[in-house]
Amino acid sequence: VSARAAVVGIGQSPVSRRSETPLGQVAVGACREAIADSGLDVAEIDGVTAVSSQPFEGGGTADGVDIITPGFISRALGLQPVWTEDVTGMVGHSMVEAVHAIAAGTCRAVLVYRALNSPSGRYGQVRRGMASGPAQFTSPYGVFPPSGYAQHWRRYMHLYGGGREQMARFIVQNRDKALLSGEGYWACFRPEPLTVEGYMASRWVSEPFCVYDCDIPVQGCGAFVLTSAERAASASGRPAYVRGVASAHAPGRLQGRTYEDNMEHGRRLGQALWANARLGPGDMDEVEAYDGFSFMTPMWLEALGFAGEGEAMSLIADRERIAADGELPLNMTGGNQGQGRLHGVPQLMEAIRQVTARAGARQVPDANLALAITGTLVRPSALIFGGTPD
Amino acid sequence: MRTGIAAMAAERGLARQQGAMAQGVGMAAPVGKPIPVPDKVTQPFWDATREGRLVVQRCEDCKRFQHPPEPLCFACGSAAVGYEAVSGRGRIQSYSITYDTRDPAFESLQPYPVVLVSLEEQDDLIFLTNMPGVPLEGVAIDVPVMVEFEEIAEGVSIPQFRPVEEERQ
Repeated sequence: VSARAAVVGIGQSPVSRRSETPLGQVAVGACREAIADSGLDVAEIDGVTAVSSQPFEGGGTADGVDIITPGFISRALGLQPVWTEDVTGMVGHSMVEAVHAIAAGTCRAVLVYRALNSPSGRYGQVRRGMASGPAQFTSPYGVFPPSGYAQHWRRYMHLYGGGREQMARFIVQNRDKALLSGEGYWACFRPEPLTVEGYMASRWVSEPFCVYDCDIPVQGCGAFVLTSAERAASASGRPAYVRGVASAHAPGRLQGRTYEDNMEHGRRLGQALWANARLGPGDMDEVEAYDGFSFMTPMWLEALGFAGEGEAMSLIADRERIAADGELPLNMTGGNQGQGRLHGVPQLMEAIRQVTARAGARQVPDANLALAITGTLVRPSALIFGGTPD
Repeated sequence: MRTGIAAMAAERGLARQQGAMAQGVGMAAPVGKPIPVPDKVTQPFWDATREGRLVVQRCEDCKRFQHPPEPLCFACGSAAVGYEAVSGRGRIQSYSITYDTRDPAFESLQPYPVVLVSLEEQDDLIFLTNMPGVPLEGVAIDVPVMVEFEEIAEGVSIPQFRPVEEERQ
């Protein structure tokens, strides 16, 4: 199957922990950079899609300050879009929607962006008080995002082993990759390597997760321009062709999900992805497996067939196996753990750079196919990028 | 021991103080664990917990249990879903321990476990619990547990669980 759409431009803002710069300015900068990189005229952009919601409770709703909607970006850039969509999930979900819109002929060139806010004060601090809707069954128990994947890891350890000593080695080499990238929170603000001892001695967040198992909240934006594969072939830059997509919310209950529940859905997403692309895990030259919480990465590797059942922890603990010249080059800019809480931006950005030979010192030799998984195992999306349309 | 209105006023004063600290403002409502707000589907569940009974939604057609409650049976699609009392016995499926809560109502309880309990009626019947009063050493996968109820506000009880002895056959 020939690709229908391609990424022809990318833009990435600097990240910061606390910033006086309004998020709207940061986002517009990244979007302008992506459009310039694409070689398309601003007036050619006739579609805009994003996820504007923020991954914490209690945030504001001021458009341009707390959230960045497609309407804000359209006004700020003077666009006249014929298609806009504010979707749920992560940036990969909006990129899949962009591919659909282009394939359906709804529009010709789409700007996809994701702007993350880092609020002042303690992140996501919230006095909930009442619990309605799905929260009826979680908030009275003091449940917050790290709990679920911490429970999954605890279950995994019970079934297979794969404890903190292995994770420590993954996170340490993750930091090294992030520092090599020169981008993201750690490279820009705390450019020191992490040690296994440093990981083991760090404070708990949600045991077995310590602070280095959780991505650090940042403000920042990534932006992408997509157009049809035909148009891309005549564009100035080197396109990253979209060779396969999958995006699906897990059916069934959304509270009290077990490791087994989420692995079942992860495997389902994998089947959909490989069928859509007519490719398999053995075809991938580089993999970006989402890691908002560290343990998501080994879950994804097992769910999508990159590691056997119970084998992913020993794979990710082995620096050589997941290096640029290893058997599975993985999360080459350190993912969210290395870049910051950018909800899928680092994964898409790096997979696109790898297949267009723009990854600098991190370049995987002859990378032609790269996979970016963005999202949790409840609400995942995945895209395969190729240096060629088929 | 102070009683009556004096005690209540002192208690509210303390709670208001805690609330103000959490909110960073002068006046705030007392901080407590979040109160479940029943909806038309979940009302019978919360009515039962108030009476110290654990009921679970069950399909009258395919007999599958499901929790949390839904408007229809997710196994067979039937609209004939009712509530049925269950044993309250189960086992710990997994757990995590929270040290960095974001809700001030839980700060004094840290570190507290967030535990998944699989009920004996059906493996995928999962309840959450903090196992209040149980030492962290007592929280482990496969430990048998039994439901109990915690009154988190006047007339509002939530299911919790505590370890029990293994039943001998």
